[in-house]
Amino acid sequence: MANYELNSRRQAGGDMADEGFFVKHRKTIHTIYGIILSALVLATAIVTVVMCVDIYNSGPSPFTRQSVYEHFMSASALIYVLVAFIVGGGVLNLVLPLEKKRLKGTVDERLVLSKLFSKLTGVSAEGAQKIEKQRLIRFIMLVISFVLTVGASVAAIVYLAVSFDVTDKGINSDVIAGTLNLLRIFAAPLIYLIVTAFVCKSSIKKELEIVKNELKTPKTGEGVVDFSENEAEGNQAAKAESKGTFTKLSCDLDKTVRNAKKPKAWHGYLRIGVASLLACAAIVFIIVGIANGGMGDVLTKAINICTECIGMG
Amino acid sequence: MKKFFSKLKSLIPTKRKLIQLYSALLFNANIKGFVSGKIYKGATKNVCAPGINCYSCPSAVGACPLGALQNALGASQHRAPFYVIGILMLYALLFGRFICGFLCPFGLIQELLYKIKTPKLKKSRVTRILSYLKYVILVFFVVFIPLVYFAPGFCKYICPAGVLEGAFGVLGHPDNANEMSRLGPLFTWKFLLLISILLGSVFIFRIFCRFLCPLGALYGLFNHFSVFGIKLEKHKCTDCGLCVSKCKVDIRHVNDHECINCGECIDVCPTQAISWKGSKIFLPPNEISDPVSINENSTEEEIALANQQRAEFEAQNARIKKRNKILKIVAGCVMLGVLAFALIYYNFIDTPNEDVKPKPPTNQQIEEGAPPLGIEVGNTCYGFEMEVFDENGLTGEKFDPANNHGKITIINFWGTWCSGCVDELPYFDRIATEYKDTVTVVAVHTSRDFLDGNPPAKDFVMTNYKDSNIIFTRDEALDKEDKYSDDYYFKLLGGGDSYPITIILDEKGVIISANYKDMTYNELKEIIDSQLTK
Repeated sequence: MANYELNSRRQAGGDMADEGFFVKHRKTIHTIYGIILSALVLATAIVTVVMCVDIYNSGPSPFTRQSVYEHFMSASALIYVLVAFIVGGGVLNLVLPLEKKRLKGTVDERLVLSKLFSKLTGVSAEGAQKIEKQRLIRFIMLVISFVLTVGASVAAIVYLAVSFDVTDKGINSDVIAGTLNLLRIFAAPLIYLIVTAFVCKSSIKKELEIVKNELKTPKTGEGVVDFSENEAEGNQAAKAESKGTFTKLSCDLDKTVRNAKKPKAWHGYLRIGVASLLACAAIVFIIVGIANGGMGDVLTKAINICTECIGMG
Repeated sequence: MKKFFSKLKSLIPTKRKLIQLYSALLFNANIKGFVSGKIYKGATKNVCAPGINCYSCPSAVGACPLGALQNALGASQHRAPFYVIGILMLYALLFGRFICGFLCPFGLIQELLYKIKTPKLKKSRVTRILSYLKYVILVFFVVFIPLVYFAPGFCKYICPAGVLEGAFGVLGHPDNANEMSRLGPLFTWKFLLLISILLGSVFIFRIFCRFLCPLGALYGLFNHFSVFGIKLEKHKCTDCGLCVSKCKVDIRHVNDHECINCGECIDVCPTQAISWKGSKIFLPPNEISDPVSINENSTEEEIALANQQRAEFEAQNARIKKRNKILKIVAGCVMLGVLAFALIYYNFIDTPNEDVKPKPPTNQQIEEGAPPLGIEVGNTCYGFEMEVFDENGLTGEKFDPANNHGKITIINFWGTWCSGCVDELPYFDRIATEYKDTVTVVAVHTSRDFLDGNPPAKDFVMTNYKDSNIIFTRDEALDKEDKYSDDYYFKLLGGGDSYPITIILDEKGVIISANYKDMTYNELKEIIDSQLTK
């Protein structure tokens, strides 16, 4: 209870020096606990996996109640320790809770960038050149990743429709081969997308720095690119889109509300209309399905166990 | 002490957790299934549950939507899958991914694991990219494989709920001990995958839902149109990013295709731009505009008007509070009533008659001094009288192993809905051809699909095994007055709920091999050769 009193005193601006050892080092205690618990969870998972593989390798028809029981009993101590630690963690959080972190908004660099741009009245020629360079890098990366992703999707569809072989080896080997081929098809775009994500983030950060520098030293005169042309019209987003410069230039620091305009009513009506049409189609489908015996198929499948389907094959 | 109790109070589950627990219990109300080791076989299994909930789980009272979809796509050559697609569309339009956040039992399991206080891996650009993996799984495993191989690719190779709820649920019961003989490489793979997913769930929020779940991928496409869920009023949004920051899944903005509609962002929004769809029914009092304010310069008339408005305002507040309270109490009572009814109905009222009435031994068997009737190896097999089927439908003939003495009889119980059964049927066909003179192979289909006018099984046999030496029969007792049930002989020969099973009889009708698993050609050949050489 003393911990709570101390905690409340600290929250109220009390003397920090009076705090007990555990309260003072609560963050460290929680970190150590988290690391030990993670290690225990990992160890338990690894032991479980090793046991399963061990049983599997023990011969034909390897899984018996006896073998499973024996293997798991040999690892039971670890499981007991894990459970004890999890329960202990609950007690720890009850007695020595961590202070909740104050929630911060996401640092969306693009959003910050657009906000800072709204403050810019002009930018030097050199700055504009640097900005253009960063945008070009992002543009090229995004175009390539888009082309790769679309290309891979088309290739996957073509592969499944044309080149996928239904062999005599059976479904298992075919599915493994198919999955591997699909992974090969999507591997390059996936890696490239991850690289693009990091490059774009880095590029936006660089651009942010450039803009911040420009804000510190606003320039006027020849060679200055004017960004305030349309500001009088109060339509920066339109300006940005028309120039193809920003995609999300929609936030103004001086405004509380992002979009002053309420969404158009027909958007809502369109959504409701589409949803109603789909709902009607769904009901018709269900009625037709009941009539053609589809419901019976669902029942047949649901009241019998296909052992292979639940992974017991 | 007060703070200690307030901390204790904070440990009470949130409303969302309670609803998740409630729905998990409701969709798994057949608790007696765990006691009996049998799955529920009642009428509510005609309908799919909204979330992933394996229908092979002994407690499940509904069908799994993904399993049903794959099964329907697999059988789409014979019957267009209108029913399942219609149900899925309806769920998606009503709830969208609200189902993931509130109604999916497997989502609840992952969230509970995430509560273990280890360091967590937060969302990032990489997880956002990985979140598109579930669409690849949807296309390849849920649509493509069932269409090409007539097998449920996702259930067979990936679904962790199938192992956790279905396989463990079945294997956990002592009566199903012989099911352990079925376990092999596929189980090992899926068990390792399950462990990986459960382990990942401790460190990563809803790892399965975010990266692998094709049902979530499907529902996510309808998030924008769904009746229930959260909504964002864009004109109130200031792009502060608190909602995205609070959210643990890979959303770009509220209610996009990744949003599971958990509603945790509602409380953090500083401008109250996020709310529940239809939340105006529970309109909170502070939404009502305040009455006019008064100051020192106000006239008596203005003061009187203000007082009158304040009184009306308070009365309105009181009315709304009362209405909200009544609505909540009524909703709570209805929910509890439904759950109580479900628990009572499934566990005490809807108890199917599982009694199987064995047929007595034939006179010939008695005369021959056959071993006692039973289902163990060495017993004499019970008598059969199953209707034989050919390309013209039911022939009117009956097959009885007692009349097949002098030949080895292989009795295989199968179903077109069972991919393992379909996979092994070619082996039986080969055996029936190679040992035509010494072996009779009888393929006994589950009764429901083999009725006249119910095309999948009939079409399947006619398409693939028209000239086969296999004798196709259906598993339905002929004597209805004796109240023989569907799948009578399957139950009689020790089949629980799981398919396939294969029983092999010697020339005198004595059981020489009882296999509660898939068979391979080599296994069959070995047994037959061994019997023939005796």
